[in-house]
Amino acid sequence: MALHVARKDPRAHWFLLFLALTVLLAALFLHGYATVGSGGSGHAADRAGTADGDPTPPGGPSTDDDLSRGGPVIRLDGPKPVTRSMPARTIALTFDDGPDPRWTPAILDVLRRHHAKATFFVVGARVNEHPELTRRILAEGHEIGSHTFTHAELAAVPDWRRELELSLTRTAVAGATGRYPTLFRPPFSSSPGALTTDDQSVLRAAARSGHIAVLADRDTRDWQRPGVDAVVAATLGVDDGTGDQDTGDSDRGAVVLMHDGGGDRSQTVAALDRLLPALTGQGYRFTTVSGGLAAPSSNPPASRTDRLGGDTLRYAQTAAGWLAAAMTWLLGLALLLGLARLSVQVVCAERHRRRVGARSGTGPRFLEPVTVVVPAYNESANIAATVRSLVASDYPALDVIVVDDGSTDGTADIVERMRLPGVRVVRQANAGKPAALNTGIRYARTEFLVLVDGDTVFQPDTVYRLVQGFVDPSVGAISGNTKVANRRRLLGRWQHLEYVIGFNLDRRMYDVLRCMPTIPGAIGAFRREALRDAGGVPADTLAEDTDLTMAVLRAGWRVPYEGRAIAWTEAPATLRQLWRQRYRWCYGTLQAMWKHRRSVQERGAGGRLGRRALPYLTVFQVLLPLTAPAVDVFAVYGLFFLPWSQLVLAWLGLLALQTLTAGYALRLDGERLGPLWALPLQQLVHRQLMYLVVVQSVVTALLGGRLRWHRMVRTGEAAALVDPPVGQRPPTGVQGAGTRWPTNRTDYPDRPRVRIHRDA
Amino acid sequence: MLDSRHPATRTRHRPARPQPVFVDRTGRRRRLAVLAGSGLGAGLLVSLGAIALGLFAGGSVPVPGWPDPQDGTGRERAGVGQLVDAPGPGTTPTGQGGPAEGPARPPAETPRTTPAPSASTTRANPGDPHRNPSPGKPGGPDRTGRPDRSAGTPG
Repeated sequence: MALHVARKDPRAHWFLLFLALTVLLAALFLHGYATVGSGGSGHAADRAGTADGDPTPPGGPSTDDDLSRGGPVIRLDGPKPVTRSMPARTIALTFDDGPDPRWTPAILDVLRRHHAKATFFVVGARVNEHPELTRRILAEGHEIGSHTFTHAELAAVPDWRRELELSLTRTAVAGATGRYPTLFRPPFSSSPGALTTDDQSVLRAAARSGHIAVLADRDTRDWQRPGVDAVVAATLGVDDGTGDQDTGDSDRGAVVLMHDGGGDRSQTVAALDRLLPALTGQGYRFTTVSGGLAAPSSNPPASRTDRLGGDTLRYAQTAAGWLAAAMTWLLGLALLLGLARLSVQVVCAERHRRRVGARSGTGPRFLEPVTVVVPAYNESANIAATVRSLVASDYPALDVIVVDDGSTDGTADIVERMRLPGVRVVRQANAGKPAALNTGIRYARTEFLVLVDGDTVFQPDTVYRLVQGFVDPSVGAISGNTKVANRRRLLGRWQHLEYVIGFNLDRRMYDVLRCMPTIPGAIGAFRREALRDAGGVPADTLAEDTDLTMAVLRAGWRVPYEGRAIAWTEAPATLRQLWRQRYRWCYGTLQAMWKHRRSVQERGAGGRLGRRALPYLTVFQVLLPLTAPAVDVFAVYGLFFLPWSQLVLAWLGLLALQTLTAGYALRLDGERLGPLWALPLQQLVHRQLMYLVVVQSVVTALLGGRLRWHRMVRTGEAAALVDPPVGQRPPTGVQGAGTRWPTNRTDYPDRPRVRIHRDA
Repeated sequence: MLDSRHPATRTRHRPARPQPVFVDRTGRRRRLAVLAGSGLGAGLLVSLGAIALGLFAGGSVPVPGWPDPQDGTGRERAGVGQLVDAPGPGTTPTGQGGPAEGPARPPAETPRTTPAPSASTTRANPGDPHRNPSPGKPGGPDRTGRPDRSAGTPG
């Protein structure tokens, strides 16, 4: 086909898309990981028993008595464990779970007021959120230790996660402060006496990457908000009744566990404000853990690489947060749009149904002479059935013109040999489908024309029902209803559902809103005057039917939809053919939309197209499908990071909505509900194909390259549905149809929808 | 049999062979798109690299060594700041003296007098060059040989 000879389809964008989706997935995972463990008090419910003095904590009782009875500062990097405790009258206050934008500054202020130093065991993900607070902690002479990246219970996670938790936190602190944390407190730990074997293996693993474990002598349990008095008492080591605390000898030094993050810490601040002056007066000193042990700073300077790594980790986490928020907004917006669209569709469909019901059986009948124009290019598989079904129409005044566009498979000969009355054959040199249609229109002698694809099979009542709308002189063209003939296999079934939902809901809506963008090439009726106004069938887009319909509409004609005029068509039977068909539809529709973009500013009929149909198509057939890959990536993220109950609920809800819509559409079209079971499966292959086609089409349009006519191999299944195959039909699939026209131009704009509101 | 080479032209506006919509014969848009796409791709690769760097930085670092417990803390009383050697994993000392372990080892809280002046609790792990055994501290390499240890834990 000379009109659209092209270079290769662009490909590089697939790599870009893949890369972008990978980045999105990585960012979402990072976000999910960084936020998953950061809520609440920081104490898992199942470990609360440990803090409450459960004698045998999960993970089994400790077998390493030396560790469990040693001091709270534990060094396991040598051949033998070494533990230490604070000297007398030395208290190492430690604050877990920060930095927190509210409580960490409050605690820092109290400490500064009383000239006390402390150690902050920070959660890496929060360091990335508040790097300035982390810097302030160090700048005011305190010490920073690691409390893992996400407050993970390390004893319950696999080895790789343990390493990641510690290395990420180290990187985060290095990026924020330029120093490493080497002290480490495992989340959900308290005193050495509560160490389980699992806990000990955690400490050993941490030691291998250079971490000294710091447990606590006294757990204030301030996260439970027991009251300021209780926090003060626990800090002093006064027996609180549980018995597993270091008690009594309050002269002794201690590592005291408090919290500056993970919840309301006002009691902690108040307790500190009371404790610090009182105990300082008694000769206690408050110091960092390293200070208490007279050890050098536990925060050595970080390497440049790790500082850079920390900075990028922080940027990545921040950007990932934005991305996740944007995705949430996108999903919400898509859901709203989808629901709005559905309600408009239903309202319009109901109105359309009432109108059709009121009209039928009354008023004048339309029986003017009609010519059916059948353009055909290498259509030998179906042409006989098509022509026979047309001749069998129960319409009183019907001509048929078959325009053979230079076929090489004897299409014209087949029709001529049939010697049917009222059927003419026109041969022309190959010039493309629009040219063939124009030829047929020129040869027709009637004022009313029906344009049909060469592979479409009509029912006897189709023509009659189709043209009745012409009783109204303002009607310039009428759209019929295409149905998929080959719906036995999954792909056909999907397309059947798609066609029915598209026709019944979108077409009825377009009809009621008077903005029909496409009459399918398979079945449409035209007033000659309207065709003349449109300048004939245009050839500068691949979607000549959309282009033509838009032109007719802009010329001021009404274009209604007649759902009872049925044309049977053969849908692509392989993914490859489906891809090619949809690529052409989508690209052609983009062309037509662009060509008629100025209708946005027009008054009257053109304005209705420009301000109703074009925005609708842009949003639901272009923009939402373009975001659909990201939605699928978000679904993968959801599988890993969202609660299953939520996922299942969302999925079932969307599926129910989708099924109800489809069921409603099937009922409107008088179809059985049987194929509905194929609907959930549509999400897996069909949906991706539909949105990738939009990506491909938009990229092709942007690049400005040419698009080849894509071809479709026909099997004659639509023909077989109504009419037995004629004898001279070549064997299935080898009819030289590699060079057929693409027909089956059902309404693309309805088709490659990515029903985003139906997806998680 | 009719022939389209002599058509009865009834449609007035026969479309001239038109320029297809979107087609850019100059190729300028394609070049621009290739440029923009390359930039986008480079940006995406850099962000992937950044995420990877952020994820995989921060491995092992040298841990600052510990001084002798009495160093630097003049106020330290006997009985605190004790150093306790614990056995390695896999052994199960009872603390009260397993039969094979010699004298009963006092519990960790037991006050210890005069820790060895030479003790440095930081050990160089022979297999790990990152370990930083507290430079400048005098110290025997192995505290197990300390004479004043009150507990004889297996070395």
